[in-house]
Amino acid sequence: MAQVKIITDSTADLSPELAEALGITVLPLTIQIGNKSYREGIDLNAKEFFSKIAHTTTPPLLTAPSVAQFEQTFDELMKETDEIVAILNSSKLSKTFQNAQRAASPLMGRAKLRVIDSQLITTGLGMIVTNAARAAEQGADVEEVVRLTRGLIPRTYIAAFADTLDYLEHSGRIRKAQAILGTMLNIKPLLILEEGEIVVLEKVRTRAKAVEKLVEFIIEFTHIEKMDVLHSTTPEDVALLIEQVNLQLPNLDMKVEVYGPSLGVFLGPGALGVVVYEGT
Amino acid sequence: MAVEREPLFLVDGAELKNIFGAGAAWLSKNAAFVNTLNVFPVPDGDTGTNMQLTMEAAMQEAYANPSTNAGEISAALSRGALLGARGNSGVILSQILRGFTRGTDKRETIDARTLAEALSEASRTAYNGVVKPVEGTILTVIREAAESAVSAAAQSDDVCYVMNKASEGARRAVVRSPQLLPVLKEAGVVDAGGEGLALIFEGAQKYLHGEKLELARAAHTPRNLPVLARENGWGYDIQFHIRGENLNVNEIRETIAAMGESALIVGDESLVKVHVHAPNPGDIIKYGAERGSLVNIIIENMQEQYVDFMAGGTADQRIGAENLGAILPHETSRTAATTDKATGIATIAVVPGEGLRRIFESLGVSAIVHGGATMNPSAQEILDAVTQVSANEVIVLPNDKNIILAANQVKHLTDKHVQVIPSKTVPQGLSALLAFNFQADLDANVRVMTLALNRIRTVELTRAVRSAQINGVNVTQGQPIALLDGDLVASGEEMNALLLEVLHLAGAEDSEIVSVYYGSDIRPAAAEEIRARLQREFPEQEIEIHWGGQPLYPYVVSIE
Repeated sequence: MAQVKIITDSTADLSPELAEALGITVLPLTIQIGNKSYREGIDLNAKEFFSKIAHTTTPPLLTAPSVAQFEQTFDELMKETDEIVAILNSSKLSKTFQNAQRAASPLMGRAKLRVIDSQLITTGLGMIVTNAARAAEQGADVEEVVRLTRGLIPRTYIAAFADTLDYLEHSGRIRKAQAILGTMLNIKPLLILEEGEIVVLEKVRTRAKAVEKLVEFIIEFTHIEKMDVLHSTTPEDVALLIEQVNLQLPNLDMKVEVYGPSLGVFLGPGALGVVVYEGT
Repeated sequence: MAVEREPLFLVDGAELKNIFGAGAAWLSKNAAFVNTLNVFPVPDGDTGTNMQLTMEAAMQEAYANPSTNAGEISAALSRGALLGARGNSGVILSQILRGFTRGTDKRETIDARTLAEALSEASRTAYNGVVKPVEGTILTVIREAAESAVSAAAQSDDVCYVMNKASEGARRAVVRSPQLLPVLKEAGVVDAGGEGLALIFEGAQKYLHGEKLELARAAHTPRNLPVLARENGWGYDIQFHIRGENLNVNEIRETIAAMGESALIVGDESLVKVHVHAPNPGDIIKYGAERGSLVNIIIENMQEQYVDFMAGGTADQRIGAENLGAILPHETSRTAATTDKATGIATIAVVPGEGLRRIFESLGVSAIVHGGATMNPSAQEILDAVTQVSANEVIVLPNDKNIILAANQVKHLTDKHVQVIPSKTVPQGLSALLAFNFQADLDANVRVMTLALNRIRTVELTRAVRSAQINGVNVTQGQPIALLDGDLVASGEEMNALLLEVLHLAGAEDSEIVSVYYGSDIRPAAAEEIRARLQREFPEQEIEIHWGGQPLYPYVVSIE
């Protein structure tokens, strides 16, 4: 029996090396900046993205891989295996999951093909994808990979504050009634992903308060296995956050990452976030 | 030669209307004087106007009731006052009337003893309505009036005699108020609310002694359209004074109130001050000019001012009367999502300016009541907003210390669950609204919003309405003065320099963000200058400048 193949998308912020080593297929989302389009992770990395959006006035747009792209990917992988699990970014943030499902449904009879809405994005998605690939490597079958993945999703939390509300408002990916954000007062909202949806947890007016709120969010967990700290261009906030978290949780394993263009479409530059893995 | 007078043994409903009507009329005639009895030289709640409008609302309800039953008329007065109550003094006055009604015990007629009992009950109710009763205020006045009435009723069955004694007792308490309350003594005034109540007693006394004293029957509470549909702009803010002879304040008020919204019209026979919002200022100006000569005309296009501010413009917003023809209709503002639509909990804010209204709306406030310092909304106006929102759970942000009681009064006037966050300033209200948690229920929100009040400091700059020495600060009339969290802390020669001084005093250098909401008298260009100055003075702080559009207070600042 061939090994289960794992598919994800570029929003997972997986390093190309790790993806290759684990045999993960990564489909890029398309980022439009001004009148140019880029494939995330292929023509555009995080650094280039933040530099480009700093010089354009129109907010960037995010487009999911098409149904055809998924069909093509599934076809190719089905030459090697008939067991495929696609673990994709939150269906509330892009059409990736929906497009994958449409491409997959006619193929369901021919292969063990599962499409999972991770309700996550960025390294949160990356982490569960990595775990799935490792399990597959060790011989887990489709059902086992799916069960493992579904178990990890509710134990993975993403919270971030945005420096500006402009990107979030423009993206339209915030629960509609919650676009109550006060763009007039330069509010910095503390956001969480709740069942895949961006929800405003609190609103503060300064970065220092926002860091404080983020720390409060973290230390409320009774157990954290590990944590990622996400930023774009503000290493000083990262240092402050790590220092404050360490005061409460001195042994916590924290990894600093730069969030990718797709999350950047929602948060813009200057955001600070965390991905918390609760563990078991 | 003393006029012979028949004793009066029984008062029925019709006579009770006349008695209270005379009290209201005498208060109205002297309301401008009561307004001058301001302890702090700050343009805040006008006690005379607030009590006058509260009494007028009471009388309107009584006049509408044809009953001759004294208890029923008293109940009508009480109901009208509860709804019409404005400002703290108006609220206490409404409680006095409520107690009076309880004391009349639904009687067909009132005799001297019942009058004394009703006044005693009025006093008890007023004291119970206040968390921390302070002597030397309207409370002392109603209590001593009631005590005098009780001893008079023990001696005589004549209602006139009892009313005389009550009135004398009230006046004595007013005269004594500076001895009881040191701030009054320091300010050199008697208590304004107490004076207002004593005037009502004196009006009643005058009527019983045959003086013709009648409240104009057409008089009705102005500002009868206080709750503005949030989708609509306000059009124009129109202010002017009418100078003339034999001006009929009530008629002018009634006419202009019908032509616009949020009308506040006060004055006497020689000078009437008009402040009104209307879509078209032309007709109002024309009407005013027919009544007398117009001075101090200020017309502001609130919508344009906002648009101009957003565009970073610097144009002078004041439109000369000669340009009235060229006025454009106001555009509609964007409809934002609101707390009630997101959570089922409505938020209502009392807000004194168009720019501030926009900011509250951008934070999801469900409804706005126009009001603030010197324009305290009535309980009815807040109630209308509570009724208007679809949610059954409502949080009210009064944003002024003189509006909190009226907001609390609303709790008892509706079946909805109303909670009042005691915000004393606009920045406190903004801080509370920011703390609104979309994931939390009403009780949790009341808790976090109340906690948020003290997370900021408020600086307000205005001009002294009279010369005084308060808190060791010397001020002369018209001079810029600064309040820190409601207390007068400094005066200065120049507004901007005073702002910097007070920000230092408030510890702005240790804060994270200083937000300035500038008033209707400040042009956007001047606001930009202030921004530059503040950024130089406070390089570590984030400085935000927003158009607030509030009258009388050029700068309202939050430090957090």
